[in-house]
Amino acid sequence: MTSRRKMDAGLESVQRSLTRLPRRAATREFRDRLRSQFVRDTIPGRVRGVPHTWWSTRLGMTAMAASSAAAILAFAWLLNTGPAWKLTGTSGSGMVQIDGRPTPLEVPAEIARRLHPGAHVRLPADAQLDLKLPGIAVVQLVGGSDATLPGRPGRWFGRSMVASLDAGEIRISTGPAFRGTRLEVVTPEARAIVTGTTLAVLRPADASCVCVLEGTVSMIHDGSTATVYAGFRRSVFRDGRAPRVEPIRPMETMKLTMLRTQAKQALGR
Amino acid sequence: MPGPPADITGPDSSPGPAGSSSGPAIVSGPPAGHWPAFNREELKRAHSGDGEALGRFFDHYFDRIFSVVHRFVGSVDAAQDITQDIFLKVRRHISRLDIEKDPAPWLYTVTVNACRDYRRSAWWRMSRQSVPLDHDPDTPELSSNATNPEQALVVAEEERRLQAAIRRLPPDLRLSVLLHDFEGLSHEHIARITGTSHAAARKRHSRALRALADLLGEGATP
Repeated sequence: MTSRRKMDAGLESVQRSLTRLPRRAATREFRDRLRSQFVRDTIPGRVRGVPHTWWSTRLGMTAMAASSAAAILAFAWLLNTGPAWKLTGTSGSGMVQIDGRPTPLEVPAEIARRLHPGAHVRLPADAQLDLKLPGIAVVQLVGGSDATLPGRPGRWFGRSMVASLDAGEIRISTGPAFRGTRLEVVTPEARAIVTGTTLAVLRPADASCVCVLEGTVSMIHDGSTATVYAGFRRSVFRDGRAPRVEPIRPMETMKLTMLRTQAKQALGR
Repeated sequence: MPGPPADITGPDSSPGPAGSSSGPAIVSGPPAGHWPAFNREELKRAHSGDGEALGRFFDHYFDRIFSVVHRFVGSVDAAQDITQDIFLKVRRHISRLDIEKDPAPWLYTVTVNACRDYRRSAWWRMSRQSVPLDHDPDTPELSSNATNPEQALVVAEEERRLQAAIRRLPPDLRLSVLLHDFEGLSHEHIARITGTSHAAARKRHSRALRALADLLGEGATP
């Protein structure tokens, strides 16, 4: 007998057994009671008191599953939220524009209150803002800067941050908790991708320049990527001139060294 | 709650096709492919609320409904609960029944829906977690038709195994084999009751039989 025939014979046998199953009767008492209630139209909703629960319906289960998933996501998002930017110092005088609203540099509490991830900041010429992302990085925004602050990175996922610099200077020194974080500074000409280092991004009127004191920075300009090594600066120009690589200027080295010292104290490096 | 369906005109008396080329060889169901029709005049009287006619309507369908439900849930207590729900729905809607049509298809639909609803209820989960200590509802009674006690025991054991396997089937497959092989309904009729296509009903039945054969095979393995 082939396996197909054996299988069919097995199914036939099962089917015969099903057709021979005896019919079971309810208890006499139940039958009589239900009959009487049926005739008099007095059948109660349920014999036992456990009602259908809203979550036992398909819609209820779907709603429960969706709300549970949303709660888990919200909880994970809350847990993942990393530290916020903190204002650690200001210098200079005049008004700093935060999201277009003038705020006096002499009132750091007000500046701190208004600063938020993604805030657009314009500094007067002689001013400076020192910011800290605890454990992760210190950032210095220098006078005349027109920049957008990076967001706050997640603890486990969503660890990318993007800042922009339209004019002025931004100096960055990263801390031990920066590992795995990606910070990108975007200028009109280029993008500097920071993965753990001390650097400055300068934006004079016609160029963008990345100065690296330690580590390396990837600089993307006109679709090509170049690595800027420690001790060098790389400039790209708006007018199409070829990019230039040269040693960091002593003044910039000094400023970055000071920032690195400051970062070591602030971030525990 | 489903009202008397207008689109179900009556049961298809032809049982499922035998030996289909697309599925496994299937033996014909019982010759009576549906419940015997209830007397039309009695139905009219039951429809208008006559107590005696309602009683006869109940007597006509009660045992069949109960036995299908019992085979579906495998427990007398649960079957009584569901049967009560079914007759509650029937009583509420009997005055709206189309008396020109056989009520059997509608009763099947109400029965199938009640079985499905019950499975989704809290009671179902509780009944699956707890087994009464005083008796096992799955234990079949010894057959009075058996020629000797030994044969009666064998028959009872076979029934117990089969009922246990039925209970392990997914609900839709369980309904499929019960309606086709236990009740003798055609696939077309089952398709109308369960709201699927004829082909889907046939396929589901084929799957159910295979699953049942596998489950019975597992049970036979020492």
